[in-house]
Amino acid sequence: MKSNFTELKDIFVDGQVFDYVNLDKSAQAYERLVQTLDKPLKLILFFGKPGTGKTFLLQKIYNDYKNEKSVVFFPRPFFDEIEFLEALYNEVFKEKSPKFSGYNDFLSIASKKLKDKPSVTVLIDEAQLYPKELIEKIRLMSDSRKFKFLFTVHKTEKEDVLAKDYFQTRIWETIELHNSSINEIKTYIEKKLLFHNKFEYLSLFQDKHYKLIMHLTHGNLRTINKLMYKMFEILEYYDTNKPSKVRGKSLNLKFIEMAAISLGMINV
Amino acid sequence: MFNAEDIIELEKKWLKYKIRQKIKYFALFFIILTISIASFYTYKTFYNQPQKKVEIKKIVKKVEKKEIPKVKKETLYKAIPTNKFTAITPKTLHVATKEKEKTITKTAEKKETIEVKKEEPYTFHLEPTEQLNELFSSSGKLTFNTPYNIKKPPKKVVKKTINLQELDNYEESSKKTSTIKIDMEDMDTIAYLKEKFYTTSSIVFALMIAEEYYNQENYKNSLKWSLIANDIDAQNEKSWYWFAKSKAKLNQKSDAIKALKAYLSQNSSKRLSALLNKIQHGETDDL
Repeated sequence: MKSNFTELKDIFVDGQVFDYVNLDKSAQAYERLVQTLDKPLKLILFFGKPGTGKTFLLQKIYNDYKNEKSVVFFPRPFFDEIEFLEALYNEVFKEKSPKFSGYNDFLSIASKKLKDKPSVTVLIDEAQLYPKELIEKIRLMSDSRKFKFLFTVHKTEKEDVLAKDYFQTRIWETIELHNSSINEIKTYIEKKLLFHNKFEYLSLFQDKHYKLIMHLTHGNLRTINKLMYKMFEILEYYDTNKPSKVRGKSLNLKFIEMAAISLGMINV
Repeated sequence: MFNAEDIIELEKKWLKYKIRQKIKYFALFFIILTISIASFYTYKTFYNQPQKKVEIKKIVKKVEKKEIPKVKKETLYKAIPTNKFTAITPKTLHVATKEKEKTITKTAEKKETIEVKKEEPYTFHLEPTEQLNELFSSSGKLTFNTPYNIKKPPKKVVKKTINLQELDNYEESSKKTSTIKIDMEDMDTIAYLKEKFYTTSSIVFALMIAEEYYNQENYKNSLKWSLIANDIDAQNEKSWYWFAKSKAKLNQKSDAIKALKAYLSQNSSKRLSALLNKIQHGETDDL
């Protein structure tokens, strides 16, 4: 038997549903990123804590500009130089890549093919996972002015050091994405429900629910997605087996807490 | 989707979590409560002058055991020789002869026995004393169990010497009672006033005690303390006032009337006149 909560649960599947929720902070970051892409910059650093929506924002930029500009998006990291160069060739020229001996080989072929065309913007996610040597090659590639790279880096203490070591002196622009505030969480959940025409479920959440969600997730959108998914999964069970427990307009805080316990956010 | 077992397990964990959460608040509340109680008692212990309580208790116990009349009047005057009343009162305490003194002592003892056994009315007489102050014109005093004899000619007055030995015994006996337990309940107004009286011998405190006993409807003690006050200063209007009121309340109106008439024959007092009037008209309830 399909529950009303099954569809709600699916809205919050992380990485599968592409709903761009225009939050204040992400709107600002989006504008800045688009502006920097138009500037004659070689390297851009985009960083923030995990789950703040960096990948999501890159995805949106790619979707919005892939038909207007020469934009390449690498959501998965590369650990091998040749593999990276071939993938880049495939994406830029939309043809099968020849065999490259190294980045110099790639650069000479690509420069010839690009000629007077505008530079290619390469969006690199999870840049902190790339090998140091490859990062250095990418930097040298950017000096050719044929490629512009946007590195997305997780802002953890360790990765901050990495960012300083490899990018500090070479980066032309840095953009930081912060965690969401309680109002942004509210907007995020409400817009998610509205995008999927689940108006009747808006009343499930009140300020006390958003406060608890904020307390448990610290404004991390990825964690919010996980929590919402788990909570609706629990509600799905009750709706199917004990419907009397989920009747009523407002949501019982118990279900959010149960979801948090199930995800290990609350240690019992 | 979750199965039933998963949900039961999850509910158990949630319940455990809620209990743990509540315990935190309970523990916090308990700690605050404990601190509050501890602070309260600490404050009471350190700031409520425990030394004074001991002294008051000692005095209270002492009074209960020894009874006031046993303490001879003279010892009180020796204790506070600088008191403003002492300039007047010693002359009211003059006793005609040594034999007279014995009689008074015996009478005091007798009175003590009477107090315990039955409500024997106090008798009094107006004993002429010397005029000591222009402000006072009274010429008599109230005494225990002595016949009313206003017309009795003044006898030759002999100043009685102060019995120092008795005072020493009295003080020693006070020291012996210092091990008595501290009991907060005993520290009432009367005990406090009695303590004050025994340390100052002031008529003011005797009168306050008489009034306090009267207000508590303990007329027998009120009468006793009015007499003690009168012993200190026979001219004091208030000692006569409380004496008469107590007598009236003890259904001994005739004594009250006699005393008031005796006083008013020598003095003028609106208050005592009004009181006499009330008693004569049987308005004892309004006293």
